[in-house]
Amino acid sequence: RTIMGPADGCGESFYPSDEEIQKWMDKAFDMAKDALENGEVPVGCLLIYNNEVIGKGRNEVNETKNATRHAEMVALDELRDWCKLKGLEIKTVCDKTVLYVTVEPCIMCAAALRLFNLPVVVYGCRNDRFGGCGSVLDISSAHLPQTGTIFKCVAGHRAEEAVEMLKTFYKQENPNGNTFDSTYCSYGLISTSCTQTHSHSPWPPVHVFSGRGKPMQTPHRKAPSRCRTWDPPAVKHKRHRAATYGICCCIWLL
Amino acid sequence: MFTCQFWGPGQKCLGTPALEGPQTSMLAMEDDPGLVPERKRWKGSGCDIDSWDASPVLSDEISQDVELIDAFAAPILDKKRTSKLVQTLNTLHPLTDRTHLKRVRPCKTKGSPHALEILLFPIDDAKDPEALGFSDPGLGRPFVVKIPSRPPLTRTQFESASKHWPTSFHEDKQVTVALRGELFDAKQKAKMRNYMMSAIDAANEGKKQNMEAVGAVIVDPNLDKIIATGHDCRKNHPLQHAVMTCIDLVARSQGGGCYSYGKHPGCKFDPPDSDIVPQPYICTGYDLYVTREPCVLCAMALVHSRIGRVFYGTGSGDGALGTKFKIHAQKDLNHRFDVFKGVLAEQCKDLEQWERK
Repeated sequence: RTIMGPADGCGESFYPSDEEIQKWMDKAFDMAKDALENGEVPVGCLLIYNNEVIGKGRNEVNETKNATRHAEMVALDELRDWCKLKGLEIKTVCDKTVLYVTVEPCIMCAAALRLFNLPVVVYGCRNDRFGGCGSVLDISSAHLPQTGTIFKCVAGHRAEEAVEMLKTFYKQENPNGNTFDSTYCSYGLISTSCTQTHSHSPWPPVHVFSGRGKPMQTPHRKAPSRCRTWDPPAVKHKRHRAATYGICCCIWLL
Repeated sequence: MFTCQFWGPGQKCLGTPALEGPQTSMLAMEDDPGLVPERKRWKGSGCDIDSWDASPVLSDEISQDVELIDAFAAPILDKKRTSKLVQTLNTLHPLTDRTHLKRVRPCKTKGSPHALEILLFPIDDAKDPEALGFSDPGLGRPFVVKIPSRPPLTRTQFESASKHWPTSFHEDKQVTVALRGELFDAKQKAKMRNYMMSAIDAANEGKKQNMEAVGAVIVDPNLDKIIATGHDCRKNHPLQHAVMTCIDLVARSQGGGCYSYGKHPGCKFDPPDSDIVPQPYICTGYDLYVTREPCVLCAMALVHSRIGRVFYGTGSGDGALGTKFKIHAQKDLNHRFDVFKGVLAEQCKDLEQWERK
């Protein structure tokens, strides 16, 4: 396990003990497993204040049609409601609150955690696709004076297990045949807006972006039942190959 | 010649937006006290409203010079062996990732005994010029030159790169036009102005409720229709920035959403017609107009929401679409979009100034 970020400067001496980390990360992993069993994105997320769960969340992107409803954002909303209910200042509560999450928060969530002035974030595996605690950008310790306060990260707790769960999730056979509508993919989304039917593919076409923001539609030739080992069909054009690789479920694993 | 079509005849027009380069508007964004009296002068003219220019916020790759790396080159002593040398070098040291580089160039120094020089390989490949893998009587003593590490993307980059080593260049017309500030015609600018005005109205609405004066609208550019209008609500909730509000209102327009805005009449949405095909999907294909540059939270939320384009009025200290980061052009992310700044820059800046008082 590695501790990242400055040793001081935020949260003063506030820091969870090893036992606490162990206990709450186990809870977060239980949540993630639960989600996986129910066919949801296996990410568990808990906000702990005074040894009490004051916020937890799971991904709600699909049901709210709002792509920003990541587990962390949902949990932060719960925290805010809890503070309101108890008549406490968000700031004073957050000063002593720790976020436990099985996957590194994305860039957006990292900014949200800063804005809530959370001092410590404990997470499992890295998020190479969108990570905001160092994987893509380091928002957790960047100099952003108008965007809340920096936070410390404790990374790597049961990391392999977290990755394994995500792999399992994205490897799953599409249960609904033609109507694969889990629009959520490794914190990204695949488009379901295309009304065209592709008889050769049980998956909807994916909007792949060519770099200048122009979407290209690439229907799958074959359902990638096992993303990790799935070889894209032999294609002549480099461009097409890139597009084939850029698809939804392979994002996480590539 | 730019004609001021939004104001009646007889009114004096000071702005000629088409002639203002991106640099001009960048200067205007800095807090230069020297600019203040001029701004006040514009106010009286009644034409200040069109003296803005939407300049593209481009990735560092486009806006900065091409990085140079060291490479070995050697004079060609025997001109007749040139094609043989090129052939051998292409097999032994192919320029696979650097097809923009020409292999041979004419000698720059006048009165030199040899007319041509040939590129051997970049220093990264081997530190020693002796590691060539062959010897040729037609090849002179190797020397070090600077070569551009990647293809130039703009004419400026091409011109500066070519000074070091001859380089090929495939011009992207859209980038060239955007850099000249000519991407939008008067009609498009009129639309952009109207949308930004709606965002400013929303900002004022928010200000009335003691929120920060930031407003945003999300627009369907194909239907020319405002889908969602929102303002900052962070007094209620630390994350309800104007952009976040708008994103949730778009979700609401599609039957989703997670917050209620009953207390904020300034935050509203217009559901799309149910018969349009395909039905809209999050913010795909939509444009966002926001009075000031989005922060990291909002910028990444826009990536997740697959926004089409973003227009903002004025920069912000922690801005993530140009100032501190360029999240819209971040290579590792799975969605990129175009960003333009400076739309109604003066009016948006005025909002910020009220803020400070």
